[in-house]
Amino acid sequence: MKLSELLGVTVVTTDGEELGRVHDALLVQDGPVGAQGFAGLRLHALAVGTRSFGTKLGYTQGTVKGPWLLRAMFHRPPTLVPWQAIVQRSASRIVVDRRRMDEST
Amino acid sequence: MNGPGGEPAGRQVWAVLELLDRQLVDRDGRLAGKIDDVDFVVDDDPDAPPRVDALLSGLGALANQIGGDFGRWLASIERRLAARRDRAPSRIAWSDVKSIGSSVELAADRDDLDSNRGERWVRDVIIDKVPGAGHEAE
Amino acid sequence: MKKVFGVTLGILTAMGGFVDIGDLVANSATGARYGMSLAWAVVLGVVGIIVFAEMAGRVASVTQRAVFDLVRERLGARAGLVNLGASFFITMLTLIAEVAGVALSFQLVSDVNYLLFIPLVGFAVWLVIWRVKFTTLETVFGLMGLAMIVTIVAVVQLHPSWSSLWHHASHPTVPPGEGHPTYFYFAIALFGAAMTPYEVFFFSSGAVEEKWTRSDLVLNKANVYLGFPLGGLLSLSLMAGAAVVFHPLGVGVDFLSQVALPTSLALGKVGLAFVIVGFVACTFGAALETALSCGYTMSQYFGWQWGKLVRPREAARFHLVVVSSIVVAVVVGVTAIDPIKVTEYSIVLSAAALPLTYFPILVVANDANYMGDDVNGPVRNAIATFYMVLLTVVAAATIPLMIATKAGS
Repeated sequence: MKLSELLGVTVVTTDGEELGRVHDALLVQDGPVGAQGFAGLRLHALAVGTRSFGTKLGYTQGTVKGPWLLRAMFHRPPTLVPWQAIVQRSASRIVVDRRRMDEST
Repeated sequence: MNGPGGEPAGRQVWAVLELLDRQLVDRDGRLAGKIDDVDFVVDDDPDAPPRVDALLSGLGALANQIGGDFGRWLASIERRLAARRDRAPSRIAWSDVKSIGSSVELAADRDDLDSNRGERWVRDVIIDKVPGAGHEAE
Repeated sequence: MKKVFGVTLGILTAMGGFVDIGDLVANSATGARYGMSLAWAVVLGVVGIIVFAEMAGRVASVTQRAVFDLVRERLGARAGLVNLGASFFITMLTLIAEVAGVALSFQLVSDVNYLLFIPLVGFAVWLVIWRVKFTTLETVFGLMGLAMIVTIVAVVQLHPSWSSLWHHASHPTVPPGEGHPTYFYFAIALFGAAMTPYEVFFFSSGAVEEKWTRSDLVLNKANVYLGFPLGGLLSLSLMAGAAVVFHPLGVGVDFLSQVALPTSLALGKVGLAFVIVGFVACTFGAALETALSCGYTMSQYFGWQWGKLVRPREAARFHLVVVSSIVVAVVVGVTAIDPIKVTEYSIVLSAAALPLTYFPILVVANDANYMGDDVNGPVRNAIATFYMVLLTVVAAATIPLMIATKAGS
């Protein structure tokens, strides 16, 4: 499964509510240690939102804090969908169970 | 290991922000391309989260990111260039990654990377034929 | 002592390297047509390039990352590719203009048709890039460009009415008989000539080539805060010279020879010699910078090894792009396409493309993960944001104005 296959995919809940599109994936470094002494990365959650432009700038993820005007335009805390909440995945949509989402946040 | 209710332990890395389109640097400090895609391996256990298996770099992988008609055209060029090779092109195994920072450092030499074959071709076929190509830099 | 020398050299190099064929043409043509009433556009552009280059230089010194590397990183592969297409095209257009500019300068001294010089110039540009050290190349052509100081001497020697020049500069009005759209079209051209994107690609990549680090930030500031304004002064003296000589006569500037006229009127053969040396230095230096920038932008987008800081064989694709760009510039140049027209298009389109590259640099300059304590302060951010808005407005207005005024006729 490639990252490019996840990005831009529409995410809906089992109730039919549309949460937006996938624009990032949160990875956590708690996997088995590899050959370089570097622990593996596991996909913990998907970041879902309604905007598609400006998601790589760093405002949504919180690493860039200024200038004021750009932050106002691009800062949108993303909705995090844990991997376990996904019940169905295809090339064009991902269906998530809202109950499993709320448990983890 | 984290269950559904807990904060994950371990460093957090945003795949699109911190991996995608980042510079790859080989063990000698030479630039070795950009990360164009990330390959995950999904275990049989549906609850186990996917693991990063390899970084993908090269025209074929870049074409996936660009998408649309232009991306498909790029992908077809890459396929034609790759026609004679059997190996999966442009994969950098996760075991070759040394560190992730503002650039991603690899333990391999870029001449050993399949994703860098374009550079080697241009060097061997064109640049090395011009006098002074091996001229010491300052 | 060595540090002071280094800083002084940097300032002089920045000053001498500031003017290129775009500035030569734009400032003279504007001075001839509007006198000094568009001087404000030059000032606005010089302040803009100072803000832009300082950020790009600071980011490159602290992170060792140059502009187009960061453009792709922050905008993504798709938007980055569109950006690359536009920036590469405009830089290539500028390279064509600069190569023709060198050839035209040689035509001024030799009466040999400039078309015959173009292939020689192309070869010389490639050879210098292939063999000459980066620092040497920058310093030599930057210092030679100081010959343009003769234009300041010439303006003084013409004994203009300083109060009249100052009055027109500080009270900008659209002259009677001229339309507002054309006035602003010329303003955009001046702005684009001062704030050329390739200048920033080169400055930022050059910081990495010269291995600047955090401790070189003083050098970065000196180059930018002193070198660029002094370079801007050269632009304004070109405008003033044309304002004094051509404007009263209602004559337009369409040829490079006319750009040299005020200086040769004021200072005779000696003045003319200096100004032609200045033309050659400025245009040849700019040709080097734009050819390298063609290589920098493409290599940095794709992540290829770039730069003169490694052996040519270790940056094979980078050098292939550079030499191919020069070949294209030569081929297009010898078709006898009007170099002045190409210059005009290159500077106006530069103004339209500026936000694409400015925006990611502004964002990274605010990223504390990358910059640590060297992020933009609040005052700089305020000015930088003002320019972000200004550049967007200018970019939006450029193509409509170009169509409405039929490219400034």
